[in-house]
Amino acid sequence: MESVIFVSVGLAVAAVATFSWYLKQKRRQGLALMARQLGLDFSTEDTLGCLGLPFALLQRGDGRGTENVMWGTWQGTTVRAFDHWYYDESTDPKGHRTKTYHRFSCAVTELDAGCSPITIDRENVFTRLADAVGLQDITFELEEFNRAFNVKSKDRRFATAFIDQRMMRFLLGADRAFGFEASGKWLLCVSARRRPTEMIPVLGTLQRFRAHVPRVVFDLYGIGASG
Amino acid sequence: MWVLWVVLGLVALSVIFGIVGYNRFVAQRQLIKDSWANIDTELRRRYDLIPNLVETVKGYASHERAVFENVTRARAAAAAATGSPAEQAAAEGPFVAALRQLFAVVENYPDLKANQNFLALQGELTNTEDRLQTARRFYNANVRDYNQRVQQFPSMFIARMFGFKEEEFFEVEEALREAGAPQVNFTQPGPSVSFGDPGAAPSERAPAPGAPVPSTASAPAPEAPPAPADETPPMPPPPPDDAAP
Repeated sequence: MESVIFVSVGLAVAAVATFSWYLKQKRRQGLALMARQLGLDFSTEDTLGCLGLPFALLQRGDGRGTENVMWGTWQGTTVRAFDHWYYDESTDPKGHRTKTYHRFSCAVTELDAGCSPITIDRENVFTRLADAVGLQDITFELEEFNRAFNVKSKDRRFATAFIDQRMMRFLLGADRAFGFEASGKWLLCVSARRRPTEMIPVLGTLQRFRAHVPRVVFDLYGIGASG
Repeated sequence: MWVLWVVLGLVALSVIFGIVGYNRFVAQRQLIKDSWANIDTELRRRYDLIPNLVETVKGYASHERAVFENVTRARAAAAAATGSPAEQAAAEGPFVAALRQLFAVVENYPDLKANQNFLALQGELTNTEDRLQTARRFYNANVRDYNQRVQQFPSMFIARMFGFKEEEFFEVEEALREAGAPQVNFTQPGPSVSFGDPGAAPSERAPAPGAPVPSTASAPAPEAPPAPADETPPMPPPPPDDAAP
């Protein structure tokens, strides 16, 4: 009887592992195909070092990784798109360790400016609670935007320059699934992990995000800017 | 005995809250001063551009003396204003109106609009307008946060105790705000210049901070700048040698 249970468990584990491997392979193939269709290069490994980009998202978690990288010029914009994951480790009272994984689809592009780190995410229950007790994020003159977005940056002056009314309108109109970051010369558009065929909206949103960066950012924070 | 400890604890907490709250008020007030200095810097930068701009336009439209005098007078008055934000905004009003009048005159001189020197000055002025707008938004954001704390519970107690009063926003009148920054249009056969951007959707144009913001893009289109064609001769006089591109 014990041997039957042992074999059953073994088979179940093998089935899960095989199915997981199959899904991973299928995603890789799908992303490779999408990269070809978009005229981008593709690698299953993070050969460009995307994990080292200076975004807050890429520093999160107790462990993290980046894979399935596409890169090249898409509709006149130099882009990189990749899968990113991180996990949080927790230990229950009985000493059992569990890992909670978070998976994302990311797209990044460059800007001719040196941005102070800034994150722009949708408000959630926790950020609203923090706002209510006075731990507010950066607020702007558009109340509708303040209610919808949580903006964090140590450089408030940069945040004011970066998020003007035009940018606020764009962000309010963007799909709720997306979050945004800027840091150094990089811009990031991120959403929860998407199917390979759904990568185009990520790239499109990133491109529009870049197009909405105010001219004054290049003037004040551009390369060689007087500030 | 424990009552004493509780009372002492509450007193200690109140003192800590008071110190932290007071220091934060001081820091915020200093930040407001610094951000006002930013606005002042950008205003000075704009004032400095005007003499050259007027001289360049004079080279093509020397008979528009009234406009030049008006700009010069308004610039001097605005540059001399060193009062509160409200006073500075009041002084800026006639200056921006005069500047708008100057750009309306420019519309009638295609040669001037193609002048490289003028285009460079105009570009610099546009950049300065952008920077000024950013500095103004930053200042008003700091004032908004500070004023919020002056009114909010429990920081209002600290504000009242130590005399922290609400600060003024720096606002510009609506009619002048609509003038916006001068724009260059390269889609025409020759480059054309216009003051403001009447073609842009209202939501695409950033109003001055503190102003009521339309919640949808269906707000009425901004008023186009007045056409001064009837007041000026149809053909511009030839430019003098020193103003030629």
